[in-house]
Amino acid sequence: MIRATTIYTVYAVLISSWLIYSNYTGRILMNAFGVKSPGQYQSGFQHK
Amino acid sequence: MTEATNSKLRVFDCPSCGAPITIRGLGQTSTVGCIACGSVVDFSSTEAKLIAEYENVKSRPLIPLGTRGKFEGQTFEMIGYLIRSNAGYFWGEYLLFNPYLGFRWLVEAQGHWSFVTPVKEKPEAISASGFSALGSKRGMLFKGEQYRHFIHGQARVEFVFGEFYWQVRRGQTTEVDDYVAPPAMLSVERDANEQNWSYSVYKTRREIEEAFQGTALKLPRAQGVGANQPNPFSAREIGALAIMFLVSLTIVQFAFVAGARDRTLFDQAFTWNDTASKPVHVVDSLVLQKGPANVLVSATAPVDNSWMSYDVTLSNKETGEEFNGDLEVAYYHGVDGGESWSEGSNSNYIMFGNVPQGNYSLAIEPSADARIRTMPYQLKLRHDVPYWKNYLAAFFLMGIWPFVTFLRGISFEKRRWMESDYAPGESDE
Repeated sequence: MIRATTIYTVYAVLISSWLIYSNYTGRILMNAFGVKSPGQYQSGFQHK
Repeated sequence: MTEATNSKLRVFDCPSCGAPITIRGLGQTSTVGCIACGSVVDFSSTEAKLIAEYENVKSRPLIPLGTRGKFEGQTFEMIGYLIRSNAGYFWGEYLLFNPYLGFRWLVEAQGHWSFVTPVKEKPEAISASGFSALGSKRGMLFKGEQYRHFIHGQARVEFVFGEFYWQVRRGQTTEVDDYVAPPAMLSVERDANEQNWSYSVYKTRREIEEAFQGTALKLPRAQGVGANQPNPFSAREIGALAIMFLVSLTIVQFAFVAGARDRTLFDQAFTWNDTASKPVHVVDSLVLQKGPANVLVSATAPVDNSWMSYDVTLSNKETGEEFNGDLEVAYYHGVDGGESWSEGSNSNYIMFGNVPQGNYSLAIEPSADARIRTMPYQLKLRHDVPYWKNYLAAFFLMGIWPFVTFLRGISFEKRRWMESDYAPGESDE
């Protein structure tokens, strides 16, 4: 049986990794949930 | 009555029903409960005497008589089974025998098991002032461990099967006190002549099945919380881990905050004038040297029961990627029903995350409440600013687990003590 402390350690490592990655890439909290920054898009003329 | 012997076992017929009764406890057996009819036979003298008549056998031991199991590395044989009760609460006691080690017990109550060893030394009574709010303040000290008084009761023998090393009969009653320090428990049984202490350790159903490996046992699932059942939601280990991780997380965050450049690339004051045509403030070249990083655009305006709004667009001149958002500064206040209230403030910000490095243009288009004639305002753009919300979210997510574990642990302990003389809400003894 997997101990709760083992699961928590994995969980905590994942959260720590997420924080480091987010801070390193300048992601704000809403980016973490798959949402782009406010109004972030590729402007039309670049695609023409 | 017929009788047969061999070097280890002795067999005789039950004086009540004639069924063969096997004696396994060598010369130490005093009483035998017939497994066929439930009659209790005195075996302390050379002749077996019936001391309690046939009783309808309603219950069978979960572990058959004669089954051998391994506990603490030693093999024991199950030779006797009792059902006892206290105030309508029933439990089973299995007498185990090893010719070199003597007797041990397995106690089963509501699917919770304990392996019981008699102890000779009497534990020391202590006042348990250091104990938590739950449970008793009475305690016992045994081998350096504090045990809290759990329950006092009258244990009455209800059924007897197999053999015993003392004179046991149905209806026999003893005073019992249990003291717990999960997974251990101390128990004392007293009658007019003697008192006996025993030490027990909690065993799971699986541990019992493993101990009797080779015998197919149908053991019931544990119900409720056992008196000495270890709390599976102990927050101590996870709490220690959580503190370690939270400290590491905080160090990491401070390292990022210290490493943030926090450069102000645009900071300018303007005045709104409703008579003029709508302005658009454009900064044609903003070089974001580090990326990806965040960009914070803030606005300050002394609005008073009014608002100003700014449509902010940050465009990468090389890739065309745009970041656009509406930044509103609104401040309202008043008195409602004698209570003053306020909402909003004179400043606000919008943040873009994960903005790649490069050359950008910034366009800010303000608009204002129609009642505003003229209004000064300040616009500012900062790049790579210290950001705390990710850290706070991580802190919360990391802390919620041990917190929930702690609450579940408290709930578990409450359920444990609900079965005691110290049920939460009842007065202490």
